[in-house]
Amino acid sequence: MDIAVSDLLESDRRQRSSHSVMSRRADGLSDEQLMTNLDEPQVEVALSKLYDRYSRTVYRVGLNILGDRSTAEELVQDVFLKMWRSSRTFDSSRSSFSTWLYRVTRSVAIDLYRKRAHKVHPVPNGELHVAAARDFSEDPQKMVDESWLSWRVSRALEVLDAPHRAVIELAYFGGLSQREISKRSGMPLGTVKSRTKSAFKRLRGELALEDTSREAIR
Amino acid sequence: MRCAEIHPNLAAFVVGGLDPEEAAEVRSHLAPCLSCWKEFEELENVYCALQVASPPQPLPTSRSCLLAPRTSPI
Repeated sequence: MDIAVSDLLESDRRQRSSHSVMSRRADGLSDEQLMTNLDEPQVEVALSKLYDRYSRTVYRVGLNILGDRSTAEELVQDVFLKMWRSSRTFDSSRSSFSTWLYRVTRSVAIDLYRKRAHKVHPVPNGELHVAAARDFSEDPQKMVDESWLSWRVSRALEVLDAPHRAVIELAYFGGLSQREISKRSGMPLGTVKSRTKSAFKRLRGELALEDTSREAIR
Repeated sequence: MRCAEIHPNLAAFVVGGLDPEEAAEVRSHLAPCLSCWKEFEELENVYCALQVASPPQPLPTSRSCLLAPRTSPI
């Protein structure tokens, strides 16, 4: 039986239709407060807000672990569906929302990884092609460690403001020199350098703030 | 060069973004300077962590897709 997210949302809406609904803005609410709202009539707003905040991180981790865009996209869809359905299992006294969502992501990624490992695609020339997921079969702990670090780094990049994130992305992922960034952006070279330095310091602070113990991700 | 002149360039040095002459100045300062070396190591740790992150790519799925009907069973 096919189940659509919109159907589930509609069903939830119908179940709650007898209650008086007050519209409330979700802007500025913490992740934990939004999770509380997943159990209330403003579920779509809360879900959208959490999606805006975390979908790129889930996608990035998916790309790292699962190795292709379409499976990473499937991961994003499945994670947010599971997040909504399992929202009552979230306990803010036990972990941050980010750590909890990482656990959800890891669990869904492992399921997709297993499915993919057995998937064989026929290709036009008649040969068989095994989907190119990374091979963690000999060291599953490596997948856990890498995905957790990937999660933390992605979150750290997400919380940088746009100008600092842009400098890091151009310098690190784009491979541009500071002078090239200056020319391309029109920013003075000194500003590019100071932003790079400041962005690194912020990343360092964010990575240190996250709970890095393995206990947190069990 | 003095530490105060090196520090603004350290992060750019770590990402390999300095001109060759500037990079050479930072390199020659780092070896004997413990305080700048410590700063360099901390920045280098961030650089190493970035290696596990995928390059930024647009997310193919918009959030509207999340709220749209799924076509496959779950």
